[in-house]
Amino acid sequence: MEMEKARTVVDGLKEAGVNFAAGLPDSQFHEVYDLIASDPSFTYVGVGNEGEGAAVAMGAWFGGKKPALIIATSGLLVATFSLARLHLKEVPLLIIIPYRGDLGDPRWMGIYKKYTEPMLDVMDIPYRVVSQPDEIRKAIIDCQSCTETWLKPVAVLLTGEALW
Amino acid sequence: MVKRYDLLKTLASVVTDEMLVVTPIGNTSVFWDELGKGATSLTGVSLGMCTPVALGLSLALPNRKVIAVDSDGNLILNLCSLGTVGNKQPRNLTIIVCDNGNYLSGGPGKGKQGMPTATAGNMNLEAVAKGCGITKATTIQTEAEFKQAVEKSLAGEGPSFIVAKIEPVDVKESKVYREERTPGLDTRENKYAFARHVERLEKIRIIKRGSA
Repeated sequence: MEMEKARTVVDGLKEAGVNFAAGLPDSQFHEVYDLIASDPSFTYVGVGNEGEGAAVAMGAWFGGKKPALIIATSGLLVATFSLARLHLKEVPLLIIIPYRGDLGDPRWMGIYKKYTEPMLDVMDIPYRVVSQPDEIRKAIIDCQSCTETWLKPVAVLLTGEALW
Repeated sequence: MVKRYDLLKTLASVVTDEMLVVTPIGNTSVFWDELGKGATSLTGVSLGMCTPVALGLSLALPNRKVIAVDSDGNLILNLCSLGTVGNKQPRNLTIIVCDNGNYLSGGPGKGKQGMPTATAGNMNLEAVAKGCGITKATTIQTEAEFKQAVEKSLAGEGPSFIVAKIEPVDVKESKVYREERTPGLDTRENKYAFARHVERLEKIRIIKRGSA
């Protein structure tokens, strides 16, 4: 992805007050992970699977941090059990997903388009699909505000159109 | 081999309210609550989440002692979390594993143990932890060894990892405990109690005013 767009994502997280990130890298989002891991504004924890990441983020929230879970589209399916437990406990968490599977990204449409949004709906995780670069920052800030207030996970899906 | 309840009773005598404890679903949380520690601990943290939640807590609050009281089946589900702990090296984190060698929560109850976990076979969690870079790892078989290991861990720098070999089935005062389980705290009630406890200790705000 373009470095300028990666910076937009990271700046949005900072402006939203996010200061802790757990993640498992998505190759298309590599620059974002790089920026976060090297930025002292964040504590970054690279995890072995996305369910572990959601749990690490939950612990950080109980320690007063504002965490984000940054995962690939496929990682949402892996994280579902942990996210369901966060939901049950009513713990907030911002989830950032570079969204493979949107219209215009036919290579991945089969599995991801089929499951991602229905899964978020079933799990009662509100989400915003961002398709334009100039919507990224506001979507992140708005979703962080909502997750804190609603005490439930909220997701931002950044499509290829917005990122690449 | 130690009884789970006796082990937790020993732990409760060592842990102060200044320390933060995370416990998984099952009898560990039930007993911990009975020992009067439920409202100042994060309890009922479900499958595979106990150690990683404690890791996140320890990284967020690096100056406060954090203790995960995990279990074998629970930890094995997310074993990669030991690799993460080994890489992050949180100095304030102690991980205790109540290792009974079976899936008691999924067992038939009435004093019978469940299907075996990997630790009933060839898996050695102490060796796994050491292989992940958690060099202060040990296995205990008795209450005295456990008390010594916990006190040493809490007095020094972590991360440390204590595998406590406990009896396969939880028997308290000669009775099978599953049949006498008390309700304990509701999961959201526990969330608020624990978050408020941390807010008081750290003089911070965790739950946004006017939320939900």
